[in-house]
Amino acid sequence: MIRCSGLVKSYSAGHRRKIVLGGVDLEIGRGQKLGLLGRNGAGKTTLIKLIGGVELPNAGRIERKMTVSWPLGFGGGFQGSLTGYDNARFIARIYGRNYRDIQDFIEDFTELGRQLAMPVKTYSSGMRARLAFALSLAIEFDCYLIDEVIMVGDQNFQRKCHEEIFVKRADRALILASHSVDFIRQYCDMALLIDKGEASVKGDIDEAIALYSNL
Amino acid sequence: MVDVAMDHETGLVVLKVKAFAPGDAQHLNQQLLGLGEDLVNVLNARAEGKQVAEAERRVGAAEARVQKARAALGAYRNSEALIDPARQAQGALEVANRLVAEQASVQAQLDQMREATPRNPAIPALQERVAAIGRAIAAQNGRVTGTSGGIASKMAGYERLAQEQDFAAQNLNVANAALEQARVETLRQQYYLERVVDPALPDEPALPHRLKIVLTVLGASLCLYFVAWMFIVGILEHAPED
Amino acid sequence: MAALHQGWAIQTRVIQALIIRELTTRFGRENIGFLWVMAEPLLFAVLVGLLWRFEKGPQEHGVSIIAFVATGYLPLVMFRSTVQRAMGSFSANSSLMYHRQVKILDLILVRFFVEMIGHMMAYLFIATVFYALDEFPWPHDFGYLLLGWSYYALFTLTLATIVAPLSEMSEVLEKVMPVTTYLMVPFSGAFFMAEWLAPDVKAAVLWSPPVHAMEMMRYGVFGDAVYPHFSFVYTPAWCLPVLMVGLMLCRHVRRVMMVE
Repeated sequence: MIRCSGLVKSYSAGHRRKIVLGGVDLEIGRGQKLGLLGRNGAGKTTLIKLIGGVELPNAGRIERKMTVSWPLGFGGGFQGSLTGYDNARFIARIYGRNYRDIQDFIEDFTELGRQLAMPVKTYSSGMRARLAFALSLAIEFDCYLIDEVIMVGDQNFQRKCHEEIFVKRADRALILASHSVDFIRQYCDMALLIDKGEASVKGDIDEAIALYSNL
Repeated sequence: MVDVAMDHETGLVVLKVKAFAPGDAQHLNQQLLGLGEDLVNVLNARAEGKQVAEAERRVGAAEARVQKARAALGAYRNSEALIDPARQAQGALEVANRLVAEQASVQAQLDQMREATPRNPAIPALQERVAAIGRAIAAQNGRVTGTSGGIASKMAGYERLAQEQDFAAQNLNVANAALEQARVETLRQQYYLERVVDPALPDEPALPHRLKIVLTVLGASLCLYFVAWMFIVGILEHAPED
Repeated sequence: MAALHQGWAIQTRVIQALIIRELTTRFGRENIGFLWVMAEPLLFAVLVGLLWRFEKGPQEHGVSIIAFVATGYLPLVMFRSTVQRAMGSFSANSSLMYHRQVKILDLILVRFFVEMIGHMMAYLFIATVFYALDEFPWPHDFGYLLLGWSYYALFTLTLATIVAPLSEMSEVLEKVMPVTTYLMVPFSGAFFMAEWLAPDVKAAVLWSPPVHAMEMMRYGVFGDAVYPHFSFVYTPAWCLPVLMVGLMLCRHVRRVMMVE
């Protein structure tokens, strides 16, 4: 279970402070799938970063009673000058996994081949996202934090993602940021609408989508 | 375990002895100090012996030379029957000079008498006197220079001997000064072993610091472990990706 | 207790992984690789040592000059490079914040550990080689050497903990820090024993914590051949409060840190 209460996050922009999240409450249990809806810059990514512990809130508490992945997106989490293998090895080490066990899965899942032995900074953002995704799947978390955009990719990759996350790991919790209402409707059983720093959880997806469409 | 350290700031030497029992340590320390003192004495004696003996030998030689020169001069004086040729010659020359002056005045009197009273009966007596004075002058000059018995011929031998005596005396002075110097030097170079603090007997064993040793070993092992770990990790990571 | 044990396990795991990562990113796998970590201090200590050796002769104040320079230079270089590398270490490694078990302090600790272990390797290497060449004495007392080293390391870590967050907060610091570390040199105790100085200069340098640590190390190596001046409590008493301030600064920086 993850419980967030009164999350406030603001950034200083010049002399003013821009409040991105002004007190978000949120609770998600095992196996629940939460979709984040909001326009660009509404604070979806910020919320995911806060839940993932990448950035810290100015106020509020986050309780994590299950293991939470790092935010899976296009950027972040890798050292550009190291190869894909080295990054995998590092992540395996800090999460206490045996590198040999996950190496095959990564090679198989990412289909990056020899590119894995190249520095990550030479990767396209899609390749980077694949690697991040593969690693987080190999490490096994109770809750995945996903920026939907990484699930785009080619047909084959989409199919594999679907298979791994929604079929094999149907029991895991998921927090998913997306612009695609269809995607949310298909996979999520709760939605959180973020607008002007305000956010509220809607158990009913259709209601949230209706509100979102009216923004 | 014996540990000797020289303190360059104070010039002290610290002798530390560690043994398995306090008594042993003190005993060892005292023995070592005793040995040290003996060694210092031997070293000092040796240094003193060499330098001063050499200077003393030189002084002896110089003294012998002075005595020899003095004896030679005395013998010369006896054999040639003269004390100081310079003063004696001077005396003779003075006498000769006075005679020359006297001769000149008698001659002048004679000449005047011949002018004024050619028939004066004193003339032959005066003439005789001039001639006598002339002979006396010749005799005096002959004493100084001239023949083999003259003072001038003895002068060279005398001066050689007198000079030798001077040199010998000077040499003796120098040798004496050198001896004095050598004595001072030896005193200055002498090693001193002064006990500033006598070895003390601790009431209780002061060593080992068990806790310190344990901590030191632990710390050193930790450091070595870190170094070895990094070394091994570095080598393992060095292997290129398979 | 179990939580503590688990926390410790995670912490060591993370630090180890970060050290390996630091070694590979910094030195790569080409030629001698991670051994470069020894190269800089080795070159510095040996070259300066030889320079002094030929300039001033084999001994100064009764101790081997090469050993004296090596014992002084290695900790100093450790201090300098650690502080230098602490600057900007947060923003350079912000991507690590994606992984919650990596704490911001780990970033400083890791760079500090790499420098410290690297310089320890260099120390060991130099001491062994010069011991074989009869230019380095067998240490008089390993306890003092180790304690002095850990005090020096503590001081280094303290300053790194202060400098790392400050460099994130101010651009100016990044510019002035290299100069400052040079100005620190006379107060590092690397090139003298306090005993050799004039009384008022001596009193001045003894305000500097690393001087105490250095004197301790020198005593550990040279023993009674030198007259050390140090206090067992001064360095930690100086470092711990400053370290607290540094930790608070780190905490503050972490709260406002923006991660791409």
